[in-house]
Amino acid sequence: MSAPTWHSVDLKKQVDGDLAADIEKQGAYVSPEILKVKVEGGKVRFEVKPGADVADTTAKVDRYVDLMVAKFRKIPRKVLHTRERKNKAPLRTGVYEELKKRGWVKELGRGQVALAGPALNVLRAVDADCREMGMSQFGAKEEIYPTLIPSKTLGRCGYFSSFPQTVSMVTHLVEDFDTIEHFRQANAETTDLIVPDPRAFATPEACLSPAVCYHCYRGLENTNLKGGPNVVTTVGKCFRYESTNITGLDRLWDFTMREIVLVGTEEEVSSRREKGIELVKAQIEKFDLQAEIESANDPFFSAAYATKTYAQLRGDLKFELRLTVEPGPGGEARSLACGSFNLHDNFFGRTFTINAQNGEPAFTGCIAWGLERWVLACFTQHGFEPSGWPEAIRASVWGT
Amino acid sequence: MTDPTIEEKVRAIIVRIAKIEAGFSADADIFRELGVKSAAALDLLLSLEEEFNIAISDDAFGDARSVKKIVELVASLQGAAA
Repeated sequence: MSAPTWHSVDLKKQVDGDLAADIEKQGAYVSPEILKVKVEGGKVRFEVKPGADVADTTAKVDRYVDLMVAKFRKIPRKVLHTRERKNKAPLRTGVYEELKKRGWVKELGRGQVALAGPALNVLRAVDADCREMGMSQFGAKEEIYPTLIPSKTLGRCGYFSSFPQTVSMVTHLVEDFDTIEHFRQANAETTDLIVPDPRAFATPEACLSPAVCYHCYRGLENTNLKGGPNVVTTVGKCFRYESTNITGLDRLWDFTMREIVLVGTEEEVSSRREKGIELVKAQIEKFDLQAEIESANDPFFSAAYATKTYAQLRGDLKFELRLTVEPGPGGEARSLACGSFNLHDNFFGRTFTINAQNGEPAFTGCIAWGLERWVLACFTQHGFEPSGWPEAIRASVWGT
Repeated sequence: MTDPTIEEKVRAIIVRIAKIEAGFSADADIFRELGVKSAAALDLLLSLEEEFNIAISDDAFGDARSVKKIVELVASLQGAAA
């Protein structure tokens, strides 16, 4: 049996570490034949499956890299805050495997996990802290949203042009007796899903929601915020298809996000985002976590990458909370974005005709936490003995 | 006095990239008031650099949010290069 093979395309200009990392990560979506992408020595190297059409895959990689790199213009990242933890014990390794061994994480599918025991307690403790922050510090109202989001809403939010690679679309069989019967018969004797005819699927009217705040903006459509800013806190399941990048608790397909959503005038929203950054600094003190808060960009795809990354970094529109998680296989230090502080200018105000108190299109922003990643970071940094955990959260996680 | 041809060229670039109607105010904030998407900023910057054969810093570009300010920026950079 033949083995996977490595191939490469030349980079037409030099790229820095951040762009190289994004090229590697998003390379997962270039072709189903690709197993891995590495940026090394002025080249993009990629490993393909045995029997792949190398010429076709190479041409795809070349077009992809060209669109990612051609217009890219570097804006230096800003580090707003760095924190070392007080706990001096070494970082735990093999955290995900240990969580599975103890039955506190159960893999139920690709990028789909169940949490139990102290792992679930961590998620709940973090979420409770964020919810309390939203309500006591921002006067947020609570709302709960559907897991589904209309495709029309996501389209109006620009999601399909920015992040098409991560969308999880929801379809169903078309309402047609013969089609449904054909499907039923094809699946009668098997436990795997058999798709006898892809035309049996209806165009997805809905998607699985990739973030919870879009629901909030849609819910405020045609609203004038006469009483001042609208602040909501909510928690929900979010879905981002991560292809071959799906890993442990780092990168789930199905994950849980807590958000505080801000809608108002530019000043009302930006001042609250700044307040959120200060409050999260205090939060990581309480959780005693090694962390950084720095400027960041979303994983825009292909041609949207350079232009939207530039706009985001230039405008300081996104900062991320990065928590240290278990070192990589070679012992390399790793951190993950476990929270973010976002501004969207007045895009959603214009899109959904939401006016702020001053009568102008509302500005929006959000503060978000990826809760499963907090679980990974907390066990990496505090270990599996209750005594290693900070007092402020020890009882809620361990009951002691 | 600023060379009027710079303004004409800047306006043509904005109309082409942002697909907006010509004839807007030179003082209007092109992102906030004219509704040009922030994602168009990089294309605008690269087009200005190419059209006028100048290098524009990100900070200077960030402060130039109207036709008037962009024309002043281009003129100053051309003057510095002369």
